[in-house]
Amino acid sequence: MVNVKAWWQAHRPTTRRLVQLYAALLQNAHLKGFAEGKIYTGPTKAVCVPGLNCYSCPGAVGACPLGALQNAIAASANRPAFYVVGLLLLFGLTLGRVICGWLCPVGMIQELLHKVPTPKLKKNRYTRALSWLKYVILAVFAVIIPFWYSLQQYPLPAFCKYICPAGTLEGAVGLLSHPANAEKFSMLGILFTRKLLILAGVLAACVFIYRAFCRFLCPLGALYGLFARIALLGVRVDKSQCSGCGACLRACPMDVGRVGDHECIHCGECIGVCPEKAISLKAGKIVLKGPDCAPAVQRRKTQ
Amino acid sequence: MKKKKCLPAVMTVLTAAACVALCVSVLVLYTQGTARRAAGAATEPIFTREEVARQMIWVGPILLAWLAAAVGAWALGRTERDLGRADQPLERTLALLRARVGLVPPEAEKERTLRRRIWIAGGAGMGLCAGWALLWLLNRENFTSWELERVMGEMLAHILPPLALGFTALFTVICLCDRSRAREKDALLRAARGRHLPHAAAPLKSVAETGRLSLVRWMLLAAAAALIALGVINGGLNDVFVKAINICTECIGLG
Repeated sequence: MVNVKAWWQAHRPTTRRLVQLYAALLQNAHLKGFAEGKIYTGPTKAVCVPGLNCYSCPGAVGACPLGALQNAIAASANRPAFYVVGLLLLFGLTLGRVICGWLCPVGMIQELLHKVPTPKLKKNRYTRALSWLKYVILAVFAVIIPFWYSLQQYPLPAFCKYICPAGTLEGAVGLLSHPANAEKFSMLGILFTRKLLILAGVLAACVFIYRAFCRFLCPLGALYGLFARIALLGVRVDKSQCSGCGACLRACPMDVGRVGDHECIHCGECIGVCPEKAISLKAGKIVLKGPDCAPAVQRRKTQ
Repeated sequence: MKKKKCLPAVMTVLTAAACVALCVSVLVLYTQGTARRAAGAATEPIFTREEVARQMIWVGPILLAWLAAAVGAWALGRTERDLGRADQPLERTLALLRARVGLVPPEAEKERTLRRRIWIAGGAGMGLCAGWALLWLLNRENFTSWELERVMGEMLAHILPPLALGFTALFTVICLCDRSRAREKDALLRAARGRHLPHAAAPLKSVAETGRLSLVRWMLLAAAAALIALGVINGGLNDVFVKAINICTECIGLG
């Protein structure tokens, strides 16, 4: 009995993991779709979910914001992309990269993969430099290419088509694994082959590198990162209490230069390690999680 | 102790095996499919459910073994996570040392100037590379063909070299700056010998909850609400709905 208790103490999920799980289930609540091999066609599909969640996933009840953005840009020659831009602006201003840390299903999958006990690549200056790659991907694949082809009335969501591993994992694997979609196999070709190879590479990388896709490739994270300074919700440092010891940066698994910058996913790992108790997760001036309610992992370590 | 060292090695091998098995099976399926198509009709499918099922007979057990091992290792192991935590950033050490010595020695000052110059040179190099790539990307003529595979190939051929050069420049700058920081640290250590080390350096700048920031946020929130309303009126909402209720061929990789 003591062993079971100790095991549970060591393995119980943190609040953030529970929120991630709940968010993933909520964004993929159409469980019937997995059984039938069909995607949801209800009215909620008109609204984008905040995290990266493919709308071709049989369980998805909302639209993918990145796919919607690319399609809106692709249609911008006929109709300005007000709706999707407005939604992304709203998500960025209110939640920012809290979405990456707390609500994104792909982020949760990456974190679970990172739990596999293997040697891990430590973050360093080079990984921080490489984290700028996602901005290049955002500009090229999610904006420039869809825009140029929109001028020819041809919708081309280039990131979805050539890179997105979330689409391959949730959409392709989710749909094609069902016998009802057997005829779709005949439509697969080089695109699917390439995307599956990218997916395999990304999943393998996530085992060794914390949130490899999130840090180096995800254009949605790059987009939300632009709102780091003005997002309502996020981890904040009380400057009057901070001694600049750097304990927060050492504990942080992401490539942050300082707490709350464009790379910070506001996971709150730093809240419990700050010796000055200067860090807290805030929504404006309201403290949602302060040093007195540090993450469960930190509490376990200090016990 | 042995168990501790053995498990990561086993899991690394299993992860690599699972990844390689998946990649090999996909490539085998694709090459066999294209060979079949080349030999027969052009409408012959590259992937068939039967062929995929045949490949899964040997790939499936490897993937399942990896999954079982991963879950088992997690359940039986401890959860003391190694999230790739970093060492003490060198800038922090330097800040501490600078605070300790008070008057910064000329060698250390020289290194700081050198680093500034390295960043200027590196920044110029990166800017040139970015300009080179952007010149190609912003030329509409490069994106007029309907042969998308060819367009993508050409695009990668044109933007990968400047991208690679840009990132190489960035990595070189980082490497050179690290060396310079190490030299500055030595200089500061020599100057600081025998003096008391302060508890911590000055805090870094942080985002402040100022009135101006709040105003900007509210203005942008109002803009977001207005854009959403305009989008609903101009049919943007319907576009998202239509796209989302149909299977996205691009996402899945059909075609």
